[in-house]
Amino acid sequence: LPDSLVDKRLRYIERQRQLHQQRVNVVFEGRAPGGTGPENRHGMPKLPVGQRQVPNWPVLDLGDSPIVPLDDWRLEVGGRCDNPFTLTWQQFLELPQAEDVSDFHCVTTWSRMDNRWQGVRFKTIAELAIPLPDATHVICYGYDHMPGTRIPYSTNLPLARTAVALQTHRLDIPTAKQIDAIVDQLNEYEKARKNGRLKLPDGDTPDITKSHKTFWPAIKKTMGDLIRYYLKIAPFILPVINNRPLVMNRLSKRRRWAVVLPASRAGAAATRRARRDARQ
Amino acid sequence: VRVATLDNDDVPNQLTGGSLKTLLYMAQLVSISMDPWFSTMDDLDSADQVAIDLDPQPGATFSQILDCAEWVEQELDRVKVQGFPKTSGSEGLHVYIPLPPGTPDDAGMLFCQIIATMIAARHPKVATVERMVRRRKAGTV
Repeated sequence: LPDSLVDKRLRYIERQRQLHQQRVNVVFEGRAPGGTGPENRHGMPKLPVGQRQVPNWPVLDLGDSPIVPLDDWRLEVGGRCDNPFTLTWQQFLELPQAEDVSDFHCVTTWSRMDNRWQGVRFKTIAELAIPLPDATHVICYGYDHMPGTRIPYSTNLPLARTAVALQTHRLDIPTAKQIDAIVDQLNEYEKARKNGRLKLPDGDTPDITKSHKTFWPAIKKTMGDLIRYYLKIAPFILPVINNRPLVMNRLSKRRRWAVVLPASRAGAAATRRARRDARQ
Repeated sequence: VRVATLDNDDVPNQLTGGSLKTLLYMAQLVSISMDPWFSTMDDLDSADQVAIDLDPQPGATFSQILDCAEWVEQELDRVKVQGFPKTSGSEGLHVYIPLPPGTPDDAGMLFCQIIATMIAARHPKVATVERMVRRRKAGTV
């Protein structure tokens, strides 16, 4: 009787076990890893030697960007495996989906940290394919080709998963300490009555202008006060508006007074004054 | 600054919330009402939440707003839906209602309109569904 699929799978699982014992659980003890930053989940410095951290997602495209309708998309798995197969996009999505947060290091020397990935783990694909004992690497071919050739782009990196989507709208909620540090910078600019750039935790440096300018004369609040307010509430408002388009609604000078609603007689007087100022 | 390009929209680029830089950019532009869409960038055609906006007219008290919020809760209870009240930017309340994935925009809107209309029908003295602020009566919500 030929081997059943179950037998093949059992053997595969046993091999995986061996693999994990001897080859995957690398001991880093006693080595002096290069690079900088806190340890990543493999016990190595987060930023490897020769890499630079980027906040964005650089797109380095040398050739064609093929348009692959999802109806035509296929994942073909073959070669040295017991159970070659082809999946449609729908079938691929029906496989167990996984999420993972990990760093991405590109060979072109940029690293993007803490990316949230969504997709099917390579392990899931391997379990379906049941690689033969002598299979050591996976080579992946893309839909696009080297410029001017019929050679498809390929990679033989040790893949841990096949990512189908990178969640582009990451939510980094700043800590109170980080906010305080930004507020300090803002205070400096406002005190010096100067324009400048704020250094944000993720490396961004937005321009801040006219922070010393009085914005609401009636309540003696400046542009700096407004920005400080938004910095303070950032940890609370960011999760609420994350990943949502926002309706732009700029307050014109004429409409600014309306923000100060009279809660008292003194408030009403202030509003009248502000209204008068706005007209002038 | 996070910007998204949406199809079939008058505005070519749309600011998208979530990053500190975008937040500061909007503050600097004094675009500070931060009205987020009821859909996320992952699926702009469906709404994942809607809100019933309890907006007081001059003369209406906060306790009247709270009354309205309670009526909203009663109506939602009747159809076994949970709402989450939240203070709005100035003086009102928003009752947020999470929606099942893939709910069309219009369906969410219609649901809110049905709830609001029922409340207005039951409590005509305080609640109004008039969308035109100018036509709303003083002392209504």
